[in-house]
Parts: sequence; C-alpha cells; structure tokens
Amino acid sequence: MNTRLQVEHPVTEAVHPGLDIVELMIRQGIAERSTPPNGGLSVDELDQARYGGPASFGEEHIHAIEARVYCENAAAQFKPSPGTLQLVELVPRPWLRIDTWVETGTLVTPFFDPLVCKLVVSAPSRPEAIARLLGALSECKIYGPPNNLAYLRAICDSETFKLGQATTTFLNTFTFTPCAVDILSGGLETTVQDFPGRYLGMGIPRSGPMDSIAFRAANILVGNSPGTEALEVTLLGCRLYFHVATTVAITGAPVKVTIDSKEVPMWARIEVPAKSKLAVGTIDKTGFRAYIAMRGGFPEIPQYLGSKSTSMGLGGYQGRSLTAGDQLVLNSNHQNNADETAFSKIAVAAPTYPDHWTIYCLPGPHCDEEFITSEGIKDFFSARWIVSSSSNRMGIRLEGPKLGWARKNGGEGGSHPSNIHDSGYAFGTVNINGDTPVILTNEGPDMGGYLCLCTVASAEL
Amino acid sequence: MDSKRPKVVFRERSFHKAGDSAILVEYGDLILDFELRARIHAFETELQRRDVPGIWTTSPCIRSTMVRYNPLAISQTDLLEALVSVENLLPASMQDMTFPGRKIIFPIVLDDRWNRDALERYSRSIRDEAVYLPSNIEYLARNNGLSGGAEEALTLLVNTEWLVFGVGFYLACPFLIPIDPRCRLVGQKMNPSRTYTPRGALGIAGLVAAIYPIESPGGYQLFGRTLSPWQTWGRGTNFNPEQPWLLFPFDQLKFKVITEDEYIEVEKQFDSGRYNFEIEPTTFDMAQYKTFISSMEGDIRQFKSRQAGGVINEEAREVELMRSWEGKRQAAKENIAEVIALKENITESTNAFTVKSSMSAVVWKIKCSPGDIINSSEDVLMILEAMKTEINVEAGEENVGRRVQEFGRDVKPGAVVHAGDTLVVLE
Repeated sequence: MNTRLQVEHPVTEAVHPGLDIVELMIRQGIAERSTPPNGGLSVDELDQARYGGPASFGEEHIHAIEARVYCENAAAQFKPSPGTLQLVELVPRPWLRIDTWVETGTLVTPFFDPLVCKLVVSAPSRPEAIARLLGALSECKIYGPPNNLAYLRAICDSETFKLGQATTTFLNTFTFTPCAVDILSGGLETTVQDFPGRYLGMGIPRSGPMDSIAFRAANILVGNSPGTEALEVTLLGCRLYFHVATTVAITGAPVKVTIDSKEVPMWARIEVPAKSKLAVGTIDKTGFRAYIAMRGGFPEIPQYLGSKSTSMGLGGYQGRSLTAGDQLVLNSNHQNNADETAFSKIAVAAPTYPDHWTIYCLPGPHCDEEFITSEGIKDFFSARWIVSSSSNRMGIRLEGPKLGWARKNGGEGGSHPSNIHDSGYAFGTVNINGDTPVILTNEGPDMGGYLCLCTVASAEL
Repeated sequence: MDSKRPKVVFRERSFHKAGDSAILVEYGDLILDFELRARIHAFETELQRRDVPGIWTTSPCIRSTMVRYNPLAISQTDLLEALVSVENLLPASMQDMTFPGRKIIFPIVLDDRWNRDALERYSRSIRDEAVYLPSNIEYLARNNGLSGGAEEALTLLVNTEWLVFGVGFYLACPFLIPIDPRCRLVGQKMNPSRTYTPRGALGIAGLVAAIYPIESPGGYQLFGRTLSPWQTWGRGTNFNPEQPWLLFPFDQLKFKVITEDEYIEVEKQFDSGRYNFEIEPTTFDMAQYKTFISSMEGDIRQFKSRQAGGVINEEAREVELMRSWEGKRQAAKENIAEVIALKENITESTNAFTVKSSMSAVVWKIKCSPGDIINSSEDVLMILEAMKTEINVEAGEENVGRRVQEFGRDVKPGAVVHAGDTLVVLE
C-alpha cells in the first residue's frame, strides 16, 4: 500500500465527519493482501459521499483550516528550538480538532521534526473559520522554547490571508515581528526570577532575586507590581535585542548600561526603541548582581510550583540561565502603554554597594558555648570576613579566622565539631560548613548536618 | 515534673526576642533516638491540629523541628508561647503512642553500575586515594566491623525497614533511618564531595541514608540505586503537579532488589508516569518497637561494639590517606604556581591578541582549533566550568576576523584557569 498521506488530511476529515483516512489506508492494505492480485476496498466504500458533508452539520458549507505548531523561531529563519515544554494547555472546543503528542514536561529533542501539534478548526464560513483559528491559537498555551504560535496568529490577522489572496509566495514577503526580546549573550548567569519565590518547604529552594530591593525597585520603575518576573544579571552582564519598543529599568550593582552603544542611566525608567540592542557591561566596581525589569514581565514563562523563578534546573526559562539564541516573549498588552503616574527615577532610595559590609544578625540557633567557646563567639562576630569567589546563589562562603570550637568532634553527628544531627536550616542562616561559614541564600538547602551560629535579619536579605 | 520527660530547647533565632522568621525546637541530648523522634512527630501533629496562624511550614529531622513562620502574622513571643503549650500537652513518654503512616516499596539495584561509574569519575578527577575508595560498600563493611564484607553490608541494608525522619535539604530528599538497630551502618561523608551523583542513588552519611532526588553533587557513601521520590512534572498516580514529591515524615520504606535491566524498564515507566509504587497504610507502634529492641539487646550491643572497632580503624586509615593525598595536591599546586609565573612572562613578551579568562574556572570543552577564523563576536571558543555552571567564552567584537593561533599555556579540558589567564591566542 502507499503509506503517503496528505499533510493536511485532517482538513479533509474535518469537512467529512466520520471519515478516517488513516483507517481507510489500513483497511485498503488488509484488503489488498487478503484478495490478491487486484484486491482492495470496493469503489463504494471509497466514495466520499458516504461520509458526512456540510449537511450533517446543518450547514451549506464547511470550511476547515489546519495550523501546524512547531518549536521553531520564526524570527530567526525558523531555526528549530528544541527544549522542554514547561506548560501545555490545549483548550478543547467542539469545532477544534487537536492532534498532538505533547504535554507539560515533554522534551522536544533536536533529533526529530519539531512539530508539536496540529490545530484544525471548522466553521460554516471562511471568515468564521479564521476567527476560530485565531481564537484557538490565542487560548492554547505552549510555553517553552520559541514556537510559531504568534507567527500563525499574525498570518490569521493579515489582510492577504483574510481575503484569501495568499499564494505560495505570500510568506516570502510577509513580515513578522515577534513581541519579544532575544538574548545575544547571557554572560555568566542571567536568570528569570520573581519575588518572593516558593514558600513550600520540603527542600524546595525559595529562589527569587538575591537583591530583592533592587529587583522590586526595577519593577516599580517600569510600572509592574514589585514581584513581577524580571532578569537577574550576574557579574559579566548580558546583551539583549528588543524586537519591539519596551519600557525597562536596570537596577542593582553599579554597571555601565548602553542602548545601541549610547549610555543610559540605572535606577530610571528607560524606553528602549524597537530593533535596538541593550547591553549591561561587566560589574567591575562593587556588588555582584544587576536587575532588568521589563514592563508586563514575561507572560510565557510559566509558573512552576507557584513561581516563575529559575531554580535547580526547574522553573524560569528552561530551568536554566539564559544563553545566546534564547527568546523571551514580552507582554503585548503593555507595550507603549507606560503609566505616566508611576515613578520614573529612584535617586535617594537607591541602595549603595560598599566593599565593606556590616551585616545585622540574630544569634542562634546554635550560638551556644555548648558548641563554640565564648571567646570563639566573640571572635566570630568581631572578625572581618571575606566573601569567597566560590559563593553563588546557594550560599555566600566566608573566608576568615578559624573558629573556636568548644567540642573535639560532633559526636554522633560526625567527626568535625561543626557536625550535628541533620536539622532544619533557616533562610539566611550562617551555616558552619567544616570551618567555613556560609550564609545560606536563595537556592540554599533547608536541612543538613552542620550547625548554624547566627542568622541574618530578614530585612538584610 | 516527670523525670522521664526529655529536655526540650526552643532555639529562637534571637535571644532578644526581636521577631524574625524561624524557631528551632530541639529535643533531648545530641543523639539519635526513636523515642525523641516520635515525640517530635507527636508535637507536629498537635501543632497542625491547632492551626497556629503564621506558621508556613515545619521541617522535622533527627532530633529537632524548624518551625518557619511569617513574623508579620504572629510575633515570636506569641509563637513561642503556642509551641510551649503544645509541648506541655504531650504525655511524658511516647511508649503508648502509635503513629499512622504508609509503607512504600522502593525497587533497588544494589552496587549498581551507575554509582560505580560516579565513584570512578570521582577517583579520576577529584581524589584518588581515600578510605572509601575504590568501593563505598566495602568501606561501609569495614567501617561497621562486618566480617562478611560488602555482601553482608548490602544484606543488612535491605533486610530492614526504614523510617523517614525528615524530608528536605533539596527537592524533598528523604532522610532515612533503619528501624532495626542491627542494620544502622555508619559512614563518613566523602571529603571533598563528588560533583556527580546519579538520580535515585542511595547513600549513607553518619547514621542517615538519603535518596538523591535528581542528578547532583553529593558526599554520601553510595550503595544502590532506586527510583527518585521526586517527579518533576508530577506525573503518575503517586504524584501531582502541585506535589511532585512522594515521601513525608514517618512513612516507612522497604527495598525490593531488582536487576539493572529491570531498573531501566522501571525508570522508563516512572518518567512517563506509568509506575505505581506499592503503598499500604501502616502504623509505627512505639510499644511494639520497644519490645522488638529489648528482645535483641545482646545482638545490638555486639553490633555496636564491632562497629565502634571498625570506625576507629577506618578513621585512622583515613587520616593517613588524607595526608598522603593532600601532600600530592600541594606539590601539584606549586607546579601550577610556577606555570602561572611562566605564563605571565610569556604574555608580557608577546603582542598577540588574546582571549582571557574572566574568572577562576575549569576548562570544560574547547570549541575551536588553531586556524579557525572568528566569524562573529558570539563565536564560542571555549566552555569553562565554575560554580557548577558552564560558561561560554565568546570571541568578542574586537576579535572578529582574527585567526586562532594557539591555546594558552596548559589550557586543555580539565585544566584549572584563573581570571586573567590567556585561553586563546589570536593572530
């Protein structure tokens, strides 16, 4: 039998309720095999008229359109964009046929055609079919690496297509501008974070911005609610390309920010023109992280366990930091619509980033002579500690003097005096890991076998 | 006051009662004791029943629970008062208490190839001589004075049921303790720790066993591989997207030995949400537990005394092995220092264009070769690894059109580079 199947066979089936072309092909194959040499289904069985036509809908005509959804980047020569589909929500409608193999969590690998689903609508008229397709393409959510849903919507919206004048050369001249920002370079670690992150316990990190004051300020400046998802940029900056005009604000550690090579201020609302490059340079003075908020946030970053923050390979954009070629969809409802009453600049309230910090802590839970001598406790609080280069979002490691242990070992907890039986850790606690104090931060563990000498006040974090 | 009542310490985060957001409640002495752990469970059960406002979670573990609260919803003083009154409601002894939970069967491959591979990587790239090398399991056998070697160690580990003492650390990792005291093997943590552990690996550190929920670094002594108690997308009947974890404190685990081939099949089912754990309701009965313990006091004493002997021997060996390894490492460091000094001379003496490392890192992959021409500022020349993160080294705008001449001195996969070191020399 001929296994070739027309690409748009669901359209034929949609206008002939009850027709299943694949089933017919299989039955034809069986019939050929069982009645050689010239066997096959009877002409009668293959008559299209056997299957419902417009009349079975109570309509004079049926129009059907099929849209094929691919994980590919329409703004980058349709480059395949494999990755994990972090949210798949395909909304069923009586007039919509959904052929798919994907669900939330499906990994689209680079090894196959990145087709993820076919949406087939039917309606009594062509304009109605187009309207329904536009509706289906808008309400079906496939969040993950870039896909062509917005491109398909733009086609449905175009006059040429609506008027039925699209020919095979139509797409050659059809221009599509995604409402998105492209990552040209992600630097050391640029991630999507929101505030306050996840409050679930169970060792699921709280995540969220390391410098939540700067983060929230950036959101307020662009007119977002303070916890809206935004970018956290680490040390080496990042470079972004805006397809559309967008309101942004950059806050955090002092760093050079440019738009198309022209320097722009931090802690201020900035209008980035369409088709321009924004570059955050290397943080080379003090501080370690900067924040970029964009008006309306990133609507296509899905919530994972209640937050959009990137953590432990989960949440955020593909659970990882951003890298060249990634694309973040912006909120189209918010473009060119900045709220004039919002703050446009933060001057006096902007935090400073000194190179010597005094951090206010509350002693405990294990600030006790049972574990560390009173002299050792005094030394700990009076010492100058240096932030180690191996610090990260899990913890700030501190280098300094040896600790004055009161015990020889940790008893049943382990051979080192910093060992205790596994116990819960508070957020911001100063965990003594062997002889190294570590301030447990946003991606830190919530339980473990080292004692905690003091805990940083929440307002300091 | 009943003298049997254990001491309880409410470790507030401040002795000044300036509210913040967690109180650690610790019970008894610094020992692992089922009676104490049962008490924590009873305390938590009562605390949940009371529905105290402002508490968003508690994290119980071996002999404590961390009560996390929102200081805007309840003051530290009020919370402390509530905790003390809950504690006062508990009976002096737990011996008549029963605790409902579940018994869950976990399929396990003992001494599996994935963990052996992780250990081999460790001895190749991190530390090549240690008391726990070349086999974690043989180390566990020696450290616990087991004359039957690895086989006896594994038998003990699957012969007991395990009680979940705590769930946390990262991604709902369970902290497990064997219910049968004759199966409570002890081991030290690997030092330094591994950078890679397969998902579902089972390991022991101190008295505690854990199942690694995802592929991650770690330091526990590995003895087998099971399914993860974490299912990222919440697939299957035992999970859901709002609760992608399986285990809770006071659940009981029992291991069922399977082969590596069976594991591969079961893991596929697990990932696609088609695996159903065997789960049945059970209770943990303190009176029964006490009877069980007292029926084998002699055995336990013997086990503990052999174990103590094993630990002394192995700790002494480890001191020697650590000293030897640190000596070798020091020598290597001095070598590197000489090389760095050499390198500085070289870069000063030439005028070549270079791409330098912006940080201390390990060379992970080299993505260019001598002769390559830089086409774009975003060409990735090398991938470094630091902070457990891969970092792309891009050519940079100023180098577009230049040709790769050679790599910096000693730059090769696995080499350590520092901020400012030359990675690539361009013509």
